Amino acid sequence: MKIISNEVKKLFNPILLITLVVFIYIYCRGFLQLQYWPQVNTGNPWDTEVHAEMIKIFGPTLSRDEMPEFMEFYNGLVTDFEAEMQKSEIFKNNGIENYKQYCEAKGELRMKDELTDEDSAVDAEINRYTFELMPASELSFKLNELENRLLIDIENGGTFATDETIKNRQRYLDDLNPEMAEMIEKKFRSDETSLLTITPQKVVEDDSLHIVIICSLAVFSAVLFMLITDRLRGIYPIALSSKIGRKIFRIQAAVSGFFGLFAGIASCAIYGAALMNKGAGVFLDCPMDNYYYDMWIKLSYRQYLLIMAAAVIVFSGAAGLLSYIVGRFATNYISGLAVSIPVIVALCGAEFLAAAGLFTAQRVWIHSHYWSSAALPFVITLPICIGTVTAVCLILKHDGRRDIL
Amino acid sequence: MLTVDNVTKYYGKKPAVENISLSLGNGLYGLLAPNGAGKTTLIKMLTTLLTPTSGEILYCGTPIEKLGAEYRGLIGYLPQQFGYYRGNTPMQYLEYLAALKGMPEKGLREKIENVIDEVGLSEAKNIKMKKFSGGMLQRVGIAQAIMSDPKILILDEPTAGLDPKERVRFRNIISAMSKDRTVILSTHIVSDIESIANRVIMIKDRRLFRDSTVPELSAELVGHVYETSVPDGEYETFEREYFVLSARQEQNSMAVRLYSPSPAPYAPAEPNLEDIFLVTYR
Repeated sequence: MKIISNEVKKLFNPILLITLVVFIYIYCRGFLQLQYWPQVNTGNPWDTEVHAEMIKIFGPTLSRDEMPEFMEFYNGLVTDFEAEMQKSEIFKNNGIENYKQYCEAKGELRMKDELTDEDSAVDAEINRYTFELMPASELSFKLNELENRLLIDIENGGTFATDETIKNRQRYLDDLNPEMAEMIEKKFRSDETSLLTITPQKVVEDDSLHIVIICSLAVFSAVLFMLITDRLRGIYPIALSSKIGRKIFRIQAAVSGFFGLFAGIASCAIYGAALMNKGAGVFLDCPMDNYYYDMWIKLSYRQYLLIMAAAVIVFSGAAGLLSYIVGRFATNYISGLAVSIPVIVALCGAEFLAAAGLFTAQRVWIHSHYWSSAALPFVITLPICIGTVTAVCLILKHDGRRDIL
Repeated sequence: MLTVDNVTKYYGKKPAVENISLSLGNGLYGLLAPNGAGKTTLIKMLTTLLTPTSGEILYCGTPIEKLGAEYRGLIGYLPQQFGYYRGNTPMQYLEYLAALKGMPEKGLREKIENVIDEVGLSEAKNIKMKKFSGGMLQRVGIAQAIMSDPKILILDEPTAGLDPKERVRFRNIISAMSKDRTVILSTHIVSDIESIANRVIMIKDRRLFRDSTVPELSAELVGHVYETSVPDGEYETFEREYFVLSARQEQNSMAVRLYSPSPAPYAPAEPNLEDIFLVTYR
């Protein structure tokens, strides 16, 4: 027990920990997408908010039967926006009295190459209503999201399409290979659609990689510092020539692995709490398969989060074991650093592919007719898990049969 | 009984020790050789840190590799460079090493305090080792090597950094310990072992050169060591003619101790271990 506690204590070098905390804070401020919630990938906060509002009314999915209520919700937003429009003298003077006219004017102005003074005034007012004036801007973004997300879907023969609208899509489907056509048609004929929007997924997909990078750097720093410092201190000759001192390597391997797992679990717990605090909890029951994305596996957002957390923890644990392997053979800090950099890059690259593969392999296949591997996450994750554990076991087993120093 | 049976060790293609055979029973063995001769390699093999390329080391007839932890439980080892945790006190560090040595917890604290007292560190037992001098650290190293009451005590350059008083104290400790155990003391400081070693093992050119008692070794040089006084102006010529073992400046001359393979016209002197060392490794 004393040996274990000593090895664990060595990982918690105060100076190193303070350095890591500062580094992690700076890294998170620089790279984590969560801090930009709820407008990641959308540029505005209202897309996510309107989906959250809809989930409170309709639940995690919107079904074909709920379309009248949905239109009521949509029209409510239109009415509110029109009330805001009444406050504008420019709209009044140019005969723009309702939301439909507002949208038409916006479309026309966008098509024009040259604007008159009147056009410019209207254009400026539309821009003000779209981007600046509250609450008109908020309503505008929400309406835009619903139109792009659901109404276009209806018009184009999407999730809520009728047989008639499906026919309009048939020509497009005929051009595709039968497997893809079947998949898309099935999607268009679905009885319901997920109300999950892009931000909750995109934030987690991007941040999972950064969390693995943070964990890997933290774990490699702590473990390599511990192992290389021990080596340079000359602790090993006494330890390894003592009765049970050789267990020190096994203990260090286990401590490194568990430290990696601990770092992964702690990061996921902290990140998860922050994610829920931002309001992602409302999306937990939404299916991941939605208007934007096709997944090769049917998951809810909750399951997706758990899988991503599991991936982060597995990769972080692997980082612990890999850092142990590097630390066992690195004779000084420079060589440890030199070997660690490509190992961390490879590990994070693998996590990126695995995380992206979980969600996007099918997407790549649909859009580019490109090779798809639904099993990509497993193809990457399993060898890393099995490989690192096996390598550590082999090293430890081999210790008794070779020069240990 | 520790037996080294025709042991050879290569680092890659480079030999470090070749065909060394020894039998080590109870007693103090001085392992004497200049730096780089293979002492530390032999010691690392005796402590199982290195495995021989060929040959084997046996303890009571069983290869030490097979005995593994059981054999390591019999060893007390002070490496050439003693590693320690700077933030630990000697008490903390020895408690940790006691855990590595598998020493029972019952009475452990007393045992550690006794051994700290034995090496003269009682007053510093709760001071962090980062404040210790080289000699104090070496005494902690000696304490850890002897605290488990080992059957085989292996000490690699143990007196480095110790002052004369500490060296005498150290010699007395290990001399007393060698009565009922094997003590191997590797050094190139001849005076460390001259008065206390039961046998002296000399390694030359990576091979075992001598395994004898100090009197046996000395006997080989009887009639070849002389003392004389050489006028200052003639010393350079004298040095070219004879192998000077030591020289001390006096008023107008040098008091010289010399080795000559053939009879020389000077006063014969009693050979000592330092003479043997210098002649062997000249």
